[in-house]
Amino acid sequence: MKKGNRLIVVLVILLLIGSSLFAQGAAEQMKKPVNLVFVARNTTKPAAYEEIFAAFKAKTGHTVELQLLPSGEEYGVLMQTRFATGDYPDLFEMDPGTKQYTKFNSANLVDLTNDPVIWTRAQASAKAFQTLEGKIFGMPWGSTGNFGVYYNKDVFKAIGATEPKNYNDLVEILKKAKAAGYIPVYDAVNTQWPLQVYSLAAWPTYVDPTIGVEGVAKLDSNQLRLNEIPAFREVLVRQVALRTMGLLQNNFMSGTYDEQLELFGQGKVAVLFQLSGILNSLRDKFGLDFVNSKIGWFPMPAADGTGIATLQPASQILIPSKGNNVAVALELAHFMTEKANLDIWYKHNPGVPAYKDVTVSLYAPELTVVEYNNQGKALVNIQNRLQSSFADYPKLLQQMYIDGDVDKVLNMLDENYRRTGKARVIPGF
Amino acid sequence: MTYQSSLKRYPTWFLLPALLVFGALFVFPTILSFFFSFTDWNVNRSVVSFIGLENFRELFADAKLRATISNTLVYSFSVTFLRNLMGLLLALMLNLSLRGKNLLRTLFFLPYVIAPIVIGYLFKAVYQSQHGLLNTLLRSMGLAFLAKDWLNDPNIALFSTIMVDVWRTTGFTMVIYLAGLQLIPKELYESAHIDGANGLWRFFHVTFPLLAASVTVNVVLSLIGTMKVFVMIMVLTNGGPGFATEVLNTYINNYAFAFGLYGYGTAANMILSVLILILGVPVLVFLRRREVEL
Repeated sequence: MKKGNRLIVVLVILLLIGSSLFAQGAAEQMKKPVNLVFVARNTTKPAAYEEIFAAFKAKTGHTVELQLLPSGEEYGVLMQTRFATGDYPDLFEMDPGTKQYTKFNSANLVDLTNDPVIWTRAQASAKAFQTLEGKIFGMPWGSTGNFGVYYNKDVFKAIGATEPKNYNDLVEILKKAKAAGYIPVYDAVNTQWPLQVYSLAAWPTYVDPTIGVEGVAKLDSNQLRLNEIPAFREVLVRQVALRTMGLLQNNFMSGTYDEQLELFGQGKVAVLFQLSGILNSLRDKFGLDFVNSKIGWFPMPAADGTGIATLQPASQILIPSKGNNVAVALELAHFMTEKANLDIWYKHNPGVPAYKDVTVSLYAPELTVVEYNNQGKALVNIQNRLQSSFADYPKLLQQMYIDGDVDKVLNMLDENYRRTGKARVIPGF
Repeated sequence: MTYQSSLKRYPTWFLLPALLVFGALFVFPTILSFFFSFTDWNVNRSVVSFIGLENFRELFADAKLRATISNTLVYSFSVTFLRNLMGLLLALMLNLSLRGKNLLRTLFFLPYVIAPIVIGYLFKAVYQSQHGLLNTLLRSMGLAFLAKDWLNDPNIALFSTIMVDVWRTTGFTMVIYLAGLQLIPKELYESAHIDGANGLWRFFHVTFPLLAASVTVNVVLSLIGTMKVFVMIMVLTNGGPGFATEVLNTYINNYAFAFGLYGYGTAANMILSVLILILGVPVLVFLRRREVEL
């Protein structure tokens, strides 16, 4: 063998040995347990996640670190900042809806459109809600919630009231509760976020019927302004009127969510404008029986009827495509949608599930919401139908409670809405 | 290069490291933020575009900003006035031959060494309307009519935050005045005493004029520091209720970091810087001139 040929043979052998070692290393790397980072909002109770992640570790050896970040508007910005700086989590929880695809740029997210596992288990409605131009990047997670009026049945019984037939009826009930020594409405003004519930729950009842689907589309493309909708203004006027009529608790400016729960549970408060999330907190404080037997729900009553329910679609889980462990992250997503794990989730967080064939027992008030939905008397929260945001809304409403100036608040909200739309480069803004 | 000229340049080399750090960590970011205030930089955009004065136009059209500037000025002037008044009174008292004055000096200075965030949380509990220390104390003294919702009543929330900052920083002001007082020659008091001057006369004609340098330091530092207040407001009220305690830095934080509008936030920051400059420089010039005159 010539000297040159010998060299080639040696090089080929070395190359073969090297590549086999590399392949072996890569395979080992694949098998090596990884630590996934899962980000959620700090309002999420971690128990269910922790139980599911422990089961995932037992099955695969991979660990999952749960990071809880401040919720609200800030949460989205924190996640966007992490994306901008390349600090991708492996999976993260996000508000529902396809506007998140624009927010996080779908090119940075794992395409789940043809996922063989998730869509065989998810509800068709949840899948439809997450679809934008035939594409899906978010895995539905959790339950369909609602906004509305929660009332204490014992208080209603004591004052001889039944569920109101219209808005005036509701006001009369509240006046009656006040006369009987109860707090008619407890508003958590100091906590801020619960202040939004009144107007968001009233939107489907009062605003949607006047602006219609076209109006929402115009609002979404900046052809209609928030301060140009008289029905929305009337909703806020009605909210302020609760204060001027003395139907809120005495120290309403210092009202907190915790105290709201406490007094409502103790039967000192007649009604709360709240989200379905309150049911879990009430169950933890006062027991399941209390929630099922003492709490009732109805939508924001209309001027001439019982009103339309406001639904909050299930959240979603997004997987950044530039994460370090995309394959394992997807494996975890699939694992989370297995019946046993969904059952763990709904055991801790009962609610109208985003998945089929799961074991879940709904709270009694939620059964009423389901009835409304089945009768076609329910609409999705307006914030989930728009691409821009009602930025700083809770603080603006707090200001409205201080000076009662509805127009000022509407103008500022409109300004923030359009500023956010422009910043998100939404067509029309 | 002659020995003389190299000797002249010699100190410059020692300045260089500090200048480099200052340039990299202060001058460069300041210039950058000036540039970004004219852009649409935000968390949703990968490309930053120049938009001229658009951010400033939006800022000046914002009713909330006007309330914010007004709150910042009220906060700044009130804290500056009160902490100087209190600091001076304490310094005068602790400059006397009192027993335990060193202990008292330490006690009064102590709040200044505690982190503002800790003090913020502490006073949040003190101010709590139902079970807070302040209202409990007032009720136990039969002064229940004075018990207020200190942080949630929009009419007094700003005042409540001001008082916390005064409590926290008075000790520092006191120390500067004490140093100034100890530099005043005793002979001046003795001759004033021989001339028959009473205590008030001595204060206005001897003590106060000779404290001019301390007044300049305290007023200017306080004015600039309080215009930039952030942590205390953030922890105590987060700018609320409504906009009752919103100051420029909480406004900037909200738009820049809660909404991700970085360009808009830096434009608001430019307004804060200009405001500090407009107020700080004339005050400094006036007080310096006063020092010379006195």
